[in-house]
Amino acid sequence: METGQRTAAERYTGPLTEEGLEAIFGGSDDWVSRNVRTAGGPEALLMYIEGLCDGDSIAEQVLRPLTEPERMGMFAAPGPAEEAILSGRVYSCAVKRRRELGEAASDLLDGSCLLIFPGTGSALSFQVKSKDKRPVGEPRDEKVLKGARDAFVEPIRVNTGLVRRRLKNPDLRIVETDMGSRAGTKAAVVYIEGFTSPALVDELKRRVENIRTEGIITSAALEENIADRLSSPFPTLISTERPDKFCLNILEGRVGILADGLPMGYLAPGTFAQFFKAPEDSANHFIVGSILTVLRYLALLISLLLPAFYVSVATYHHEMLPTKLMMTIIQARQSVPFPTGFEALAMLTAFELLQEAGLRLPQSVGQTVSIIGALVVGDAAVSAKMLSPEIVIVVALAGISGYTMPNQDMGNALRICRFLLVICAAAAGMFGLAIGCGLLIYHLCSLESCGVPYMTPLSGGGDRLSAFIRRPSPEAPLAEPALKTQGDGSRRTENADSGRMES
Amino acid sequence: MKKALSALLAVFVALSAGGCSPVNIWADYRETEDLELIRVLGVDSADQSVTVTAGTGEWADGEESRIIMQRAENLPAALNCLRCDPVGREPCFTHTEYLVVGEELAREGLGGLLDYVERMSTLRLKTGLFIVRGGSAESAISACAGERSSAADMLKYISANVELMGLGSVYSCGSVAASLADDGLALVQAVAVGGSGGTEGDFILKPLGYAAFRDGKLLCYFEGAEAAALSVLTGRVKSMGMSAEPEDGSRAVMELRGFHVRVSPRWEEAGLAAVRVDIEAKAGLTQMSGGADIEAKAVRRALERRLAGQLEELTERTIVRTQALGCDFAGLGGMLDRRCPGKFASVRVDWASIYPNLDITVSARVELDRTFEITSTPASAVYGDERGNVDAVR
Repeated sequence: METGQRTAAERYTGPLTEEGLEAIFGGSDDWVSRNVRTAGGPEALLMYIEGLCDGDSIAEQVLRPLTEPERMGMFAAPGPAEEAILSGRVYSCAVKRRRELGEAASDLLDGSCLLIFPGTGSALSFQVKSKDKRPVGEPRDEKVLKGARDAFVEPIRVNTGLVRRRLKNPDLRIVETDMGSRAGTKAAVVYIEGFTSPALVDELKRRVENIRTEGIITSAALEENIADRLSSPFPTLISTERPDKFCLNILEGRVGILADGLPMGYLAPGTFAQFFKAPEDSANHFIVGSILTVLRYLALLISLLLPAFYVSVATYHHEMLPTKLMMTIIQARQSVPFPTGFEALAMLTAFELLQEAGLRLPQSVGQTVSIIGALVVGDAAVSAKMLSPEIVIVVALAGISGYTMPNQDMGNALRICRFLLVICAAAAGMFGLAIGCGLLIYHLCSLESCGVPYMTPLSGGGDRLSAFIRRPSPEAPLAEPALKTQGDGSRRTENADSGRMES
Repeated sequence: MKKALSALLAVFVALSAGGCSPVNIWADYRETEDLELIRVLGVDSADQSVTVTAGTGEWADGEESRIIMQRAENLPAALNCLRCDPVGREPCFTHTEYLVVGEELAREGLGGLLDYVERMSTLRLKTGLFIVRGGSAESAISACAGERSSAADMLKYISANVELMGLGSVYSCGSVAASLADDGLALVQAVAVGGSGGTEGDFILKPLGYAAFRDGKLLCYFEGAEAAALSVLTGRVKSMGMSAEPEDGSRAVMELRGFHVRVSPRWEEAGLAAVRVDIEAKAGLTQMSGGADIEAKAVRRALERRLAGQLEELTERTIVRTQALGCDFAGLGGMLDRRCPGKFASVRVDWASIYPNLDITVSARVELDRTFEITSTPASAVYGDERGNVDAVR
């Protein structure tokens, strides 16, 4: 037996034996191995992992038919008994014969039970997965007023079903592979054959297959193994918990990735403009959707630049402030002991602390913490002249604007950049801010997601306006030019037509 | 990383090449609470020295605006002396809205003052410029300082309303400097220290037409109707009050607005022979006394003719005065230049000598477009006679 960064099927080679399986799983308390006598006489060994398999299914679909004389009574030898079971004497919906140790181990880990007739050198694998899983519910983070209410759940098979239900297209491909040697997590690459760029599909398949970690238990593990550049805080994979958004992006020519155990779908390539599109945009009237998108870009500017701009004008460029506002700020800061830059950084840090506290605590307590933090502590700090009210307003405005980001990963990246820009502004005023913004734009322009420039279509490679406005559905080209889809890229391509979404 | 560093280097080089050295950037660092906003700055000259009077902004919690005064041998030195303010705040001139100049300094010349404003980034070119007629800037600013008033507030009020009253217009330091550099002539809003400010409506600073400058030095003042005529010709008036008598015994008070001035030159072989100035204005009736029926066409036409006549007369009088001074304060040369730049190019250099002897005629047309007459029935019939008896009147 070999060990290393590979899946169970790859790690355990050789013929299937009872001793081999005992050696692999025997040390675990949830490992069940028991003798079963069939109605015909031959003894068999039933093996499964408790918790992964459904006990009722084993009893009803495997054990019960084995003990019925009218079904199995005439098979006294192991060989004929095995053949009879394979031909349908045992009414489990899925049964396979396994001869390799690795295959058998993989099936056991996937929720199957094995029935081994001694001396045959093979095992019968019945799929009796445990049914204790979370039902498909409403999205938690991507709620919409108008639109579908279902969300991805942890089991990959349920998620592929949700996708299939929307994309009733025979060209839809769901290619599964195992990731991680120890966890053996299944991942599925989803795309439309003949429509999605083959180069993009191949690239994503290559990246998924090349993942060599112990296991994909968290979403970050998947993202970090697929993302183009790890050093950037900006997300290059679109993550969504909404099957409708996932399918819409598949129809636009993106490639989707689903991972077992993660109630999220991932889409590549993820460009900057994509992170400003909310699921609700496509549900609203196109004018409303466009205005909301523009509003989100405005919120981006406020969230990113407002604290830095305030620090800059309040310390270096006083002439940029209106006289009355300047007088108000002077009045408010008369007794504040800290410099403006430090005050802004401290307030931003306090804001982040409050946010983290609100997220980690139970919902009811989290709200209380937010209220106490924002209102009581904030008001007390202003009253005690430790902070000026202006900085509270500025940081609160920036924070609220940050919450308008439809994608939390993008929001997190902006939070980091906000801090850095405040430091730049505190160091050199508007010049520092300009340098910071220049470097940020440089960084964003240098990013790529699966070969597509991150700033597409803002930097070219498509209709620039499409980043800000949503065209009416009949006029909008479905596929983005940068995704290099096959066909003419128009909305009514053959493949896209047949895969129209059902909501 | 290398790319990021090279980008950073490129930004530094670009900023440095643009004149932004790090030393200059960090020299501008000030915390707002350490600043004393100077909203109005007065400059006077006396005995070979310059006196600056700075009026600070008032605070929200009732702290009054303060007046700081310093004297030094020149303006930069005097402004530097303001930093010795005992309160300990650094004067900040970036929000100085008004620059007030005493008459004595105005007579000596505005050149040095405007030169300083142009060169220094701390004072803005759009700062409004005022001349104190017959007084000093220090007296004007000090007179305004009170419990609920300051020179900045009064000058702000004047700036906002002077064009509505037809009493002049506030020019910025930048535009005055540009005008002086262009033809050596400039108009500056003049104010005078008037009432005590103790009673309602009694303003301490009063707008008093224009102070006219030639070659940077105060030449004369245009006030009252002359200032209004100059405002009409220079297009810096929003409305102007004027009264006329359409019929015997009746009197109408009108508000003129919507002025439109057009110059029509007559060119001959020798050059520019004459200029006709056409003024058009709309008028609205604001008050009518006497028995004239304003709805009658004849009465309206008579009123329009009288208003036009008055407008012509005062405009002609003002132009004649500027011709006598030899200075085109009305900016007719500029208007001609814009109207026919090709032909005017031949006289542009000699315009100063041509203007005093030029045949200029003025033609005005006033249209009474709004009488605000609610009904043709006399007001007494609607609201009743002195005893309130409506039917009796009808």
